[in-house]
Amino acid sequence: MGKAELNPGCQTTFEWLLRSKRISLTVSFVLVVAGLVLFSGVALPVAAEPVRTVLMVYGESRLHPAITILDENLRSAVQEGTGQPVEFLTEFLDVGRFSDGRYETRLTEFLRAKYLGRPVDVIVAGGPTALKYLLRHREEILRGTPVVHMVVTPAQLKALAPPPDVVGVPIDSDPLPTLALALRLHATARRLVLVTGTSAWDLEWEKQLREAVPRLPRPVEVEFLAGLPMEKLQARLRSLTGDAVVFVPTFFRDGAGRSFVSRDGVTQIAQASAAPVYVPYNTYVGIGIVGGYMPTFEAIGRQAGVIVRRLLDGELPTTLHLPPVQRNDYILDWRQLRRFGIAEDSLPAGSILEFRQPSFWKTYRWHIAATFAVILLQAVFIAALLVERRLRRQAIAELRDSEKRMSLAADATGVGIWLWDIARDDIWATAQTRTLYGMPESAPIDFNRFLDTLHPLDRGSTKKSVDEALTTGNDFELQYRVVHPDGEIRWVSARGQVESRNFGQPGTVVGVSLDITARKSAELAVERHRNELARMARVGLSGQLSGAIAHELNQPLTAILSNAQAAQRLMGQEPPDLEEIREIFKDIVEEDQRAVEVIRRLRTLFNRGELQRQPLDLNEVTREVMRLMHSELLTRNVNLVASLAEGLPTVLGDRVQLQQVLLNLIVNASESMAENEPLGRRLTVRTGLGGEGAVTVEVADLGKGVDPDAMDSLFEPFFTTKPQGMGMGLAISRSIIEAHDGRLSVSKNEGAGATFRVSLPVGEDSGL
Amino acid sequence: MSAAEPTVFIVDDDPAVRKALTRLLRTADYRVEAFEGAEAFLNLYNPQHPGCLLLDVAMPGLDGLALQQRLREADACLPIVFLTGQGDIPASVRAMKGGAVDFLSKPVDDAALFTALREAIGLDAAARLAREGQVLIQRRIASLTPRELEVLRQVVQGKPNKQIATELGIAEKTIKIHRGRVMEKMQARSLAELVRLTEYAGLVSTL
Repeated sequence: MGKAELNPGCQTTFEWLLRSKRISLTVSFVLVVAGLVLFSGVALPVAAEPVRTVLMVYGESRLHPAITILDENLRSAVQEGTGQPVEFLTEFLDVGRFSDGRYETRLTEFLRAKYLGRPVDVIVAGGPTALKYLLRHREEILRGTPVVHMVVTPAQLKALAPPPDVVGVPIDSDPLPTLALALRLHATARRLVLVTGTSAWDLEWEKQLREAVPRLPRPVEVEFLAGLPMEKLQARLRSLTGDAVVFVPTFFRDGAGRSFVSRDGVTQIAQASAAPVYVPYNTYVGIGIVGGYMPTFEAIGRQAGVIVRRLLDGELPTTLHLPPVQRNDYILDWRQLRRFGIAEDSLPAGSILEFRQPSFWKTYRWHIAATFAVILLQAVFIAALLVERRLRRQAIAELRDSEKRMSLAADATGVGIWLWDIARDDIWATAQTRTLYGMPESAPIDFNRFLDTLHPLDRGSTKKSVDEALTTGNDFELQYRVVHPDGEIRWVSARGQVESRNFGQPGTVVGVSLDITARKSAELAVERHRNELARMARVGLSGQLSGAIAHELNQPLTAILSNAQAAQRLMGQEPPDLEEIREIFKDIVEEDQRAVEVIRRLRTLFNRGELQRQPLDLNEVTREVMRLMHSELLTRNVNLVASLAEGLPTVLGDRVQLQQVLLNLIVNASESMAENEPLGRRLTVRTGLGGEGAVTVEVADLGKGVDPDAMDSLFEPFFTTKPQGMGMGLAISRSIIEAHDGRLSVSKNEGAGATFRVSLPVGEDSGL
Repeated sequence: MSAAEPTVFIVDDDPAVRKALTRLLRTADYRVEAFEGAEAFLNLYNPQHPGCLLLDVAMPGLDGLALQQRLREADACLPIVFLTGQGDIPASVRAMKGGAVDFLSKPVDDAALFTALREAIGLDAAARLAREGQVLIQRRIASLTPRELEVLRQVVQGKPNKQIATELGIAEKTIKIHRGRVMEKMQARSLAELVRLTEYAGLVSTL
């Protein structure tokens, strides 16, 4: 990888590109992740969501490894936790290499034409060059669009003095933590040697170092080797003894006026030095230096991505409350640690060790383990074969007895047994089975004859399930209605097992059937009851929400009325501004669609009774509820924070009932915070994977929390802490979730408030 | 005296509503500036600029009522016409108590809206004139010498020259001269006008 010379402002920041090993690993990982994100985006398209646009602007040309890392990490951070489609556009300005003013003018003209009528929500400035350019030309290209910067030092930021809608976290370029690290790892060091060159940037560093010296954690003798010719410098460094540590920030030019690619300069210095050398940039890790406290592009990209996402979520640039600088990492070269006898446990927590050379056992651990495993497996296998031969002889004898016993027992409990020979399509059935299905005692049965006994509405699904079982070879369990010749309807549960004959072809299906009419009618009664309760609770909830609904509808109606009245007035003018009127009509149509969408959402929530199970994307269900609650939460001054995990498997459930549970939890949570200061009313909704194949939704508040004594009675009917509450919400919610084979639980937060957690099993035909 | 034309400052977080209202007001020849939130408005608002606020009640961040409070604390008396999406009675009471000109429900009819805005802009203009008048009179009062100020204070309390002379320990003739100067500097043609001017400036108690 050749090193391109960049303009001076960027040398500092793009100097550390060249850690090829780490970079290539990270890139391939990021690519895999990006691929997954892309794939899930295709698999679960989100309709009617506006595409948000982020424009990435880099001052350099393409294909810089650092840019790749920044870009990929930024994108994945933007996409995380939001289902909103985000489009990324990228510009590489290359202004560093084409520095004459005409290039910049033409480039700006080009970009203005390019983005005319193409709205961009957020601009990202990748580096100080891009930031400098955007501060000069943003108003011409994309007026008023907020800018997020990255890879900019506090000093550069101070010099550029960006306006308040240009935000970002500057990278930490303070040398002090690196110096402190060096003095800590070399406890016996009494001399600190600071090496600097003579380029503008070297001098800037020298100044920064001189300011840092008084802040050193312990007194040492400080020696500045500033502005020496390389040979003299190397001679001095060779003569250093064991009580010295060296720090070199950059080395672009020496005292004799010779220019260096900074990394090469530092390499020569590190090779000459008898004492350990520390640096502030991780590009230098691997050329014979010990390490230092440095930023990584992964972290920088992610940090910028998080800011972009918050802006897209509607936060204002002025109220982001960003940290003053980006936290760095301690990065060290393992080989150098060994060279200077530094113990790994003396490193700061979270240090990153590079170039670790593993021991023989560590390198070949898996080979050794695998060899042993194979030997062990062989021994076990041989023993098992011997045992198995004896057992089989016993089993054949026992099987004959057991068959006889089972048939007796089956008749006694009302279980019907049957066997279906698929190739001949012939079903053998016990007398009990024929009674269950209302079939005569002796007539032959085939699959279609069996289907004819079923309720017409159950035939299709039964055939489909059986076909599926035959294809997959899996066991199946079905419940269907059987219509007897006298018209009586019975519920029957059947369980079958597919047995392969050979080559994987199903040969026979054996199974049992059982009359479950009594159990089923009890279940249906419970479900009817629950649906009725749920409907009542919804009606109650709709009363609570009516204010919010009015607001939600009033917004588009206001826009429509004002637009229409504006159009009326324009029509009265002479001559009427037809272009403007056309625009107005377009807006009216759009707002009308928005109103229709509000009504559609409400109707699906409040106007249906029947329970419908279908595969659901829990994130989609959650988003719908959040949209519905948007105004209500606004009125209550509640700040809603959503963190939705992407790529969750679907669950099987009733959309309306699950939304009702979420609505209930969100209303409860916001009511619990009614007495908080407006700033303390934060409600967090999280989705994610729970253990054991479950998908979870959590609703966390900062309210009064839950009294530990009341924890158990919370879900009982008529329990309430609210003066006007009925105490039915949580009881119904829990019964709904349990009807979905899920769990609704509550826990106290570590800080204030409580978290309610809905956990639902992953749907069986989930695509993932 | 501000030369700027009165402007309706729209603050509403809903872009479609903001756009439609802006459009409607412009067709009626209002000068309009629209903001997406209270913070954005506060960042750019210049108190010297006359006009009124057309303010949405429910907004993320600083809401309409909070903005009203903030302006009151800053002594910026820009008249406010509130718009609300829901008939929220407690909010409307608070808004009107806080000095709002009107509290209109969305969707709002243009006639009602224009009436309220006309009233608000009129109130603002009157208040600005009044403030300018006060400043003028305060300037006149500032031009008085300490002795003349002393005489003015006694005169507006309705005391005759003789009593003032005794209380201040100077000749009645001198009082007459001071009094003449006060009338002249305050540009008052009668005692009644002098009293009215000082009251108008709100300075009777501080004299």
